[in-house]
Amino acid sequence: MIWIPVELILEIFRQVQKLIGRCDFQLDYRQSMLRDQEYNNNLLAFALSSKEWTAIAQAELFRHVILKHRNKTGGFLDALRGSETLRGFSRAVTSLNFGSPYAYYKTEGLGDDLDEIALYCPNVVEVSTFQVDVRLEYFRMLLSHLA
Amino acid sequence: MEKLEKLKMTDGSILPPPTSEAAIQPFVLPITLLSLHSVNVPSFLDTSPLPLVRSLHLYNQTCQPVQLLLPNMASLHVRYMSMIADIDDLIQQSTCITSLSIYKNDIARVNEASRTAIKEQISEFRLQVMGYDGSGDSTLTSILAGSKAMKKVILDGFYLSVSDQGRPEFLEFLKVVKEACKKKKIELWRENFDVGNGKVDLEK
Repeated sequence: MIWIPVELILEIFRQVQKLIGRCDFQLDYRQSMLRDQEYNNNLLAFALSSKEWTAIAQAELFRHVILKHRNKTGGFLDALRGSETLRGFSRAVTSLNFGSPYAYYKTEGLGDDLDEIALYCPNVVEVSTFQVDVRLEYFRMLLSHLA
Repeated sequence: MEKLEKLKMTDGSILPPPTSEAAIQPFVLPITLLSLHSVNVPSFLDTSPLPLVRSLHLYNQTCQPVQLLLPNMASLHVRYMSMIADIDDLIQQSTCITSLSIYKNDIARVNEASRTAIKEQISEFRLQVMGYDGSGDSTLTSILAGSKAMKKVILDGFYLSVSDQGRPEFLEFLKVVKEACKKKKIELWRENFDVGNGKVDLEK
């Protein structure tokens, strides 16, 4: 395979995302989730296409994380606990999406999970939830972490 | 989540705080934008963790649970509100808003006090056009004519079908709004239409 600079690979990702289109969660949550999922599916395909693309696609995948079910959240945390490389990627997470239109999201212990996610993903600026029951304190700043 | 700026919820619930004393510790969320779409919220939401929220997006919600947030809002977006009284309360209690997004046809339904508040305070006015039916056009032009702070009107065509975008009634509405904006030197923008998005040339 021809060597391609990282910047060009990222530009290819941008163009793929542009082709799929983005939709504001507030305007149409179903479309928003479907399109983001489609983009992530494309990134997974890119990650598997060649070794050179894997790390770049993985890093891009971590920008917008979709956790449709509670077991996905558990799996995400397990993966981060077990891999320093993934913990490095997780610092790039800016957006988290919980829940889906098709299944009720189990919320027992969610506060603890979000605390742990906040440690691994300190740069999250946006959280979107669908059919999830939350307490506001789940999203509080971790003062111990800040200290 | 110390960098969290936006919390957007659809369906689901905001649960009341736990009742055990150990769990009740004051906390503040860093979010500046809160969006609630058909979310089950306690009748009086504890807003003390939300002192930084300046932008509120409410879809199919009632006014009461978020009442205490309203005086701090700079931006308010409302949609799918079944009770027009809720929209009136939201507009009139948001005494600092300069940006308002509202379903275009609700313009004709809001009361005179809300219209006055829009004229006095709003500098950026987003109108969600949905299934164009022509209602509210004269109210809108009268609000624009009497506005004191209005700088920008945005027509949002996200929910307008392609066929509705080409209907003579809608084109006539555009013409009227253009004229009203031109008279008051207000910028007119189109967003989320199939074609012709961006700043509208009022001279053409």
